[in-house]
Amino acid sequence: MKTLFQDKAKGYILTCITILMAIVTDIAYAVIYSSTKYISWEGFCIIIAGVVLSIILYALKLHRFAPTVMMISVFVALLFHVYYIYFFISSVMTGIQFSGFPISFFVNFILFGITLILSIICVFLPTEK
Amino acid sequence: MKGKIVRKTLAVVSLLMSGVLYTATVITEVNAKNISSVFGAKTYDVVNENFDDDATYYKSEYDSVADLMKDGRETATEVLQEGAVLLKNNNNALPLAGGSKVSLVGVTSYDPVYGGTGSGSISAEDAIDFSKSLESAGLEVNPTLKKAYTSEEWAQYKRGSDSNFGNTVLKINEAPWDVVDKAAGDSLVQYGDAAIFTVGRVGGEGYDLNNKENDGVDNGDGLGNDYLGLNANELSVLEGLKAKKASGEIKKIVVLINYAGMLEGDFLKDDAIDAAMWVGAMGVGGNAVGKLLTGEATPSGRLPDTMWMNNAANPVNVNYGAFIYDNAGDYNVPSDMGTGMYPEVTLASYVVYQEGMYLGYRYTKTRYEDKVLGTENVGDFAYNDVVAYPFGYGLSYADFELSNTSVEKTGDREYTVSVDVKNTSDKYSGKCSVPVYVSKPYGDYAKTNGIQVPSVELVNFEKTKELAPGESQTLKVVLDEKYFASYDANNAKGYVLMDGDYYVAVGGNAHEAVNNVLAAKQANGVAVNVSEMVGKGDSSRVAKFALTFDKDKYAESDAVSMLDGESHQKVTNLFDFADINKYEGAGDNHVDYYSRDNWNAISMDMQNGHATVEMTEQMAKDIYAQVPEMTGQYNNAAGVPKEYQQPIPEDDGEYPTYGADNDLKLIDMRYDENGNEISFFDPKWDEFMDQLTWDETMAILGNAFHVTEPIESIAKPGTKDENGPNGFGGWAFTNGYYTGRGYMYRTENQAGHVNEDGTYTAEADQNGYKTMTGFPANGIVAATFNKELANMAGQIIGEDGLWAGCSGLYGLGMNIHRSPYLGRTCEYYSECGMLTGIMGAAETKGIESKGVHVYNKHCALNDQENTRHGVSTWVNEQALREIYLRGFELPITDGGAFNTMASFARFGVQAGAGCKALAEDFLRGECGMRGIIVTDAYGDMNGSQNIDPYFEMVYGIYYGGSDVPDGSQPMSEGHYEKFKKGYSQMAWQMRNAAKRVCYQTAWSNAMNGIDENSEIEKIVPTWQKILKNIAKVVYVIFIISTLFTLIDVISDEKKRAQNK
Repeated sequence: MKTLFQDKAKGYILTCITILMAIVTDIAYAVIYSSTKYISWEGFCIIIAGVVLSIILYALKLHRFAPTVMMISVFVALLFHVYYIYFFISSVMTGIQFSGFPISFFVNFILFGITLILSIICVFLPTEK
Repeated sequence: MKGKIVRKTLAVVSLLMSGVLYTATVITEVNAKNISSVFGAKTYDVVNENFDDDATYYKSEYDSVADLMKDGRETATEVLQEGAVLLKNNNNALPLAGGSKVSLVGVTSYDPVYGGTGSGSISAEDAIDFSKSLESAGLEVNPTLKKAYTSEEWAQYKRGSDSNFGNTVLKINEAPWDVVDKAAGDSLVQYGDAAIFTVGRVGGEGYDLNNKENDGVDNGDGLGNDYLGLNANELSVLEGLKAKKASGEIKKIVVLINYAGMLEGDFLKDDAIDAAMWVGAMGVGGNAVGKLLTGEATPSGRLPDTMWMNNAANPVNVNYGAFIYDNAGDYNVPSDMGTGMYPEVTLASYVVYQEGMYLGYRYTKTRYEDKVLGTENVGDFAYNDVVAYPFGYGLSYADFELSNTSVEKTGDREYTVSVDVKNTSDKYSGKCSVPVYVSKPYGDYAKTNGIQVPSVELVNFEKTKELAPGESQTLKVVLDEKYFASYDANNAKGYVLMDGDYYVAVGGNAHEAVNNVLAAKQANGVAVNVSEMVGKGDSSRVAKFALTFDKDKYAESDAVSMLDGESHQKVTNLFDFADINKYEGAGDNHVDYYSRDNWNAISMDMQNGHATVEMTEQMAKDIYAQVPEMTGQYNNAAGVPKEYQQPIPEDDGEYPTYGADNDLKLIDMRYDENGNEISFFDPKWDEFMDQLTWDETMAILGNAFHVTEPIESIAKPGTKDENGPNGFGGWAFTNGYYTGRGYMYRTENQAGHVNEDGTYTAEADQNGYKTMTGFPANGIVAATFNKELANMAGQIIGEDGLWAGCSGLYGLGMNIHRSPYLGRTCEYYSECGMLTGIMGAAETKGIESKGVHVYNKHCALNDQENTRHGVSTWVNEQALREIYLRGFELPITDGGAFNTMASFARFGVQAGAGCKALAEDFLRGECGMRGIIVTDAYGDMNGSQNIDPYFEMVYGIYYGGSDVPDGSQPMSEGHYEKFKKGYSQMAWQMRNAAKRVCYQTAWSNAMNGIDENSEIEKIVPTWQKILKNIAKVVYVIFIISTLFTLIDVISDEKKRAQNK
């Protein structure tokens, strides 16, 4: 592993981490919401597509485009997620029922947030030395 | 390099913003109506609005909103003053002398319960807490304890809940005595004239108070950790105070119960507690508490519910909650909980009202009477172990003597009670209410035909004015003989007067009434085992009448039917399908409802004693009959099984006319040229309705999320219809009285304080941003036993609507306190349908007088929150009519209630919002209801939530069960479109529903300011315009930055290729 990332630029390494985080986020998303109507399978697939495309770009040594691909895929997936879950959020926030957001709701959004922030940082970091 | 970073930053930021704004635009576009409704944004304008008096059809009695608010607070205070119930007052511990130094103990003392949660919440911004109330009444309140209870260090000691997803965990979080004692130090001695211990509980929408994990005490009665008993910390406080009292450090212990309903009352029997008062949930009337404790006001409230010693002695609780048909899966009916906001079983849950007529005091008093009369099979029943304080109980500082009681038949069906009420106190003024109960014969006819006859039932009441010491007043209470009749669902299938002796008991609580009846029976030769009596009876307060059997006298409804505008409907069985013993698809199911003949059969096993029902194929079919056709889109992936699909049938009949040019506006539909009201059945209404296009009809029926739609072509204004049951309140009123086109708007408009965009200038009256009056819980309103006061409260609510531009109230709450564990107790009045109906009618009348239409809710059987969504409620018709529907009936017949909100619950297998028998036959036919029926929150029903959908609006329209959804796009999107051709029956039903919407709008305060020259103009709300414009700018920036990025990338790639 050490040799794999030897002499690699920070952007290169962080993009790899972002790809891993995206996979974790997607799995967590599916685990949390797959049994509900709040799951966006479009969003789920877009992240997978972004990850696959990024890996292909790495394989083709076009990894300089991978951060952009990851950022767009994670962001668009997040928008799909928001679109599918907004009704639930509004239900909780208007407070007709005496309840709040479950922990899984926050875990999911935190994972999405971290992945998106990482992907944005990657866009600004050089992926080649 | 720097330029590249700027370009990248711009590209990334504009991408993110574009994405966010695009998503926001998509979401807000489809929910625009909801959002506008929530924020009170203007969606239409009235062109040529007439601000003159002659176009103000519903007038206010107030010159300014400040005057209205002041009256509102004072009326709320008066309601609490008359509704608070003095439960005990040993050795005249109360009232406290002016200047007394008192210690307020308990977390609720410093965090009072003002209302409920959910749609029953009120604005408490001007609420008065206990400290302020007591201090303004001249008491000195222990500052050391106040400081401790309100300190940051004590933040853990605060009543609350753990807001888990769909599973609320209620927390009492009382501070234990050792902590209180340590913090109080010597201050308890210094402020020891009285220790006032406040016990508080809160309830609300979406959850009941049983079967919840909480920090209540499990006393092993099968009810688990009991939220309605005192918990360990509260008991420790009580013990601590008792020890202090025993050692002489404090003189008195006074308990205040600050909860909308009844706690278990056993702890109040402790002699060490000197006085106790139930103050309900106080609304903004908190000032009353200090006045009552100091004697500035004299308590005159009566309990609207039975206070049980222990709720495990209340057999209703055996059948209270969520039960699932074990075999639902056999018929492809899913019983998954769902995982959404409301995880509930919506198609396979049920509850049996096995108690039938014997609910609350109707149970305790009847079984008590039977015990005293030595009836067979009465079983073990020790009254003192069951009832802490009976229905109608309430003490006063004054003493009242009732004399010269007489009951005369003063009309064909009218009896007039006359009684002299004298205040014999030499010190205290006060009011005294006089409830009147009837005791009907439980004879052969009743026994043969399965009619259940409670020993005493409330039939009417009146209340005196404030009587000074020594002053008397003769009260007249008029009784309608109709309420002496019982509903016979088995033989006559209608109301019958049964052969035998009827006893009319005047005054007192339900226990006194039954004792008085027993005394009267004894005097008439009936064998009474006096040794079994708890208390004594007074036969002088009872009149006896002998009536003969009559099944025809009340065979027709009193009200003129709104089905044809002229007939009186035959009153007959309408709800056989809700009674498991009569429902044709019941299969082998049978339930033994409680009967006076066999009290022994009642199970008190709280865990396993409930009535069990198995699902049958017919039940499955009937349940699926009202399920959305698109069910498969939601959680119930299987959809409606093929064998149960029952789509609305096509036909080739003639459609109504659409889009005719008849030059009629809604304002033309109020009065004819001679000044007479235009009847709903006038042919002019057909001409008027012919003008509506198909799309306009769909618009009216597709969106009623706390509004009704404005329609330009007929100059129909939109209406604003808002929660709630204790007065207008909640999240919809961020702009307070400036919410709509009400008096507030009109006043400021005339003063030149309204900008062109509808916003207000800085000079506008800032009081307009205040929220409306939040009244005490309806149980307190009921406890006043004062119809005039309820009417006054109604008038304030009506005025609030008039000033805020609201012409509909999602209230009042007319369901029944079936169990003390009901979450929404604060919204409803009583365990007694008659008390609910009488007080609800009085309050409704006040509201309607201001052009505000009530939507009395939730009609009916929403008497629990657990599995409220779609629960099949099995109840017999006698109980349904005499208890559960009476609260909806009387406000219509006696209070002029225009509208109703349907229940989430099912009548047997039929959804409340799709039940023709309820809506057409009962509400419109028998009761003569003139307006519309709105569903309860539609998004909870049609699968928008992640639970199995159980009702679709089109069935409500088709069957006549409801007219509009409490919801809007996208929930009802496209639901009606398919009926444009080939469904004339459906089209006519849609026409009728739209007509009712127009009719109720025409007779509401939404018409204020509209005359024959006025037009309605729809507008895009300001928030939507701003959002769209921002989005456009960001999209342009994004496109430009993307172009630059592409150019940059291409240039980089070229350089890269050259470098290679």
